[in-house]
Amino acid sequence: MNSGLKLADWLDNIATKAGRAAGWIIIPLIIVIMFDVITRKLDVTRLYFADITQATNYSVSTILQDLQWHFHALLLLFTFGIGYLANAHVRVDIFREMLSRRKQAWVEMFGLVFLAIPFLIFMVYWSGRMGWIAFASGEGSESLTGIPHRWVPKSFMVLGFILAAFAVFATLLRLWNLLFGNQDEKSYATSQLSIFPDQSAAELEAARVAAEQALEAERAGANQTNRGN
Amino acid sequence: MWEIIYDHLYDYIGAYMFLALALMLFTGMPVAFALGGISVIFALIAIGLDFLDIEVFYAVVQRIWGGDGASGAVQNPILVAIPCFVFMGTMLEKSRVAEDLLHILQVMLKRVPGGLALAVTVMGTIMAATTGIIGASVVMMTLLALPTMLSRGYHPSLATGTIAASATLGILIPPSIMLVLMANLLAVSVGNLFIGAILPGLVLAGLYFLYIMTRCTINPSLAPPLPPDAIQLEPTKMRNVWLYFIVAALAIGTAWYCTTNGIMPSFNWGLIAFLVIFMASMIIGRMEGNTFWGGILKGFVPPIFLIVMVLGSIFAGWATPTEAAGVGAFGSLVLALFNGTLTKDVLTSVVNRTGLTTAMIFFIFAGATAFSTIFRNVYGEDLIIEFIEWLDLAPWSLLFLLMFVIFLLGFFFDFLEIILIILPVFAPVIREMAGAFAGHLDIAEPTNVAQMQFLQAQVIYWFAILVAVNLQTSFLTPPFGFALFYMKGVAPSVVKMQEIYRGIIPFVLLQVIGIAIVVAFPQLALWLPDLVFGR
Repeated sequence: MNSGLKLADWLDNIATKAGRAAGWIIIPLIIVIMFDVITRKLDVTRLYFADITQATNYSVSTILQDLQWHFHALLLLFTFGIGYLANAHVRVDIFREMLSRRKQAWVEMFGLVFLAIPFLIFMVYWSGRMGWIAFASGEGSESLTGIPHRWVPKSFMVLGFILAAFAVFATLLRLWNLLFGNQDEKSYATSQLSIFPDQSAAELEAARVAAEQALEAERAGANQTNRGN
Repeated sequence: MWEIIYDHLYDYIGAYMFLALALMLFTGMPVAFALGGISVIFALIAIGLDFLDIEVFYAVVQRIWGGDGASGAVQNPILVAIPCFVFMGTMLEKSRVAEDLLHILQVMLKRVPGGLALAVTVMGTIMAATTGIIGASVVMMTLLALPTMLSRGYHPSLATGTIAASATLGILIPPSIMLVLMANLLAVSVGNLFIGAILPGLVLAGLYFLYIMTRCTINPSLAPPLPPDAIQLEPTKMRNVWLYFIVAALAIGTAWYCTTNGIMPSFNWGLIAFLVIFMASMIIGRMEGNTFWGGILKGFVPPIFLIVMVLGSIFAGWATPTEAAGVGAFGSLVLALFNGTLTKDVLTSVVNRTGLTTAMIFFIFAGATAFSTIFRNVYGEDLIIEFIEWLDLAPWSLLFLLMFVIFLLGFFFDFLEIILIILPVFAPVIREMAGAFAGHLDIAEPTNVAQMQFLQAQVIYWFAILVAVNLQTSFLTPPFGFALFYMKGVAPSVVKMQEIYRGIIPFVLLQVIGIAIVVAFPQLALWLPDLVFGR
């Protein structure tokens, strides 16, 4: 295995781990929304928490509402990379399916170099600027009692696009090896890529076979009960 | 010479941008990359020709970010509902709540002609809503229902038609992710759009119901009735059922008594009664086990209650869609817990799937935002409005033209691309011609700005519902409708593509009737929100 493929695995690993970890944010997100609903929408608990607010002169309500979209930001931005690696991003496959894998790899490489990379470079740079402006100007929440330090979630956006760029570079290195590598490199690169439609077709095929077996099992069961009668 | 090219580009760069996008999409690149890449390339061209300033990219990231009430992706409290709805839908699917629901619906409807097909329709109405993309819901419903239907001797055409139509109905019936996105892009209220979609959705479900029942009554061989011993159930222990009804009656009685007599007014007695009945249903259903009533209490009542809770709280104006989605996601966890299927593996796979679906939705969102920002800044929108003015169509013909374009696009693209790319372009056109539909919507000619805005909002709601039904029809229409291809991909090989085509045609006709009804009676989409939120 050459250093390019190793680098690809390393980049893939980072983007995948970050994406998987960010996915779990959904659980605290649900809990925060539940807590917010309970403390603001149910009269009993609302009054109880209003008392606490009065006694301590401190309310978490706006913080929680800001926290909701902070979590959401983390969830949606950090999964950009893993989304591409797992081929979850939407494609229009009708013409691509007709090409050979090699041609698909060429098309994908062309697209990554001329479309994805310029886009990601510009997004990283300009969201970085946006984050920097937020940091330099000390931007905080729109409401007085919200979460300060708006640059933190804004830096998620930079990181999210960087993770997407990691995924793109990993794929690019693998595609390069698939097209120009020796036999070992080719087969390894193919095994690590999941961008081809026939790969998801294999998954669907497995599901179809499972459905067929379920159908046969049910039919056999039905026959047996019929014979039993 | 150079002057001519310059002038030409200055006028038509937006058109070339759209053309280039169409070409790039069909290469099979991820749509988000195609959108983002094309917008960067054309922005650079425009900057090179001095039409644009480089600072336009700041506007792009700012719009992707959102904030200050803008319809961005990140700082947007409304869109937090999307991952929650995805989580809820995926959890209900993977924790086998959906499967149990189909199972018990089958038993409940066994005496009705075409009972299993009706069960699938009901299930699609309730469940398929939230998986995010059409392909995923069709695959899920096919795997869940098709083997059972075929083994019960249902005709493959009827079975596949029912499943495809019911699975795609989910994009219209709330809680639907498409409606959340639509509301966000059209700058209207999600709750309002949800409620507006309920009646048209139910009309469609009702049409399916009528069709299936009529067809199966005329020709019972299409849908053989369930043999009596097909599903083994133990006899019901009536004691538990009585216990349940007593608990429910007690809960309602106490709630009514306490509310009317003002006992502890700070308690929300109605909600407490609701939750008590919900819990009792799950607990007693579990005690009851594998019997008819046990199945109903365990498999049917809880999911219905969950959906009622999610929609009802929006309906009552008690919760925002985001809060309702969070509560719904929590509720799906509770349901899975009571079902005994909330294992670590299930939770992990639900979380991973939610993450990927969220990434998919919002990456396209980012790309589409970049595209529409640049497109607007090179005056692409003006180009489209000029083109439409040049066509010089009457408002009705224009509406049909827009609908037809969306219908054609639905052959090739999932709703995400269509909603995110096309809707921002069409919305100004619709707003522009809102005045022409005042009479049809039964609203007085607007005389001031506020009335005009109200009228525009109403026309937008109506248009959004029309687009939703239209897209669903498009996904089903042979030979391109891609719901059918997803279905063929996972259907047992005894099912032929021709049978799928033949099965779907009646449903497409029902869809056309549905669209016609919504076009002719806009009140169907507007009356309920009007009733709930008032004018």
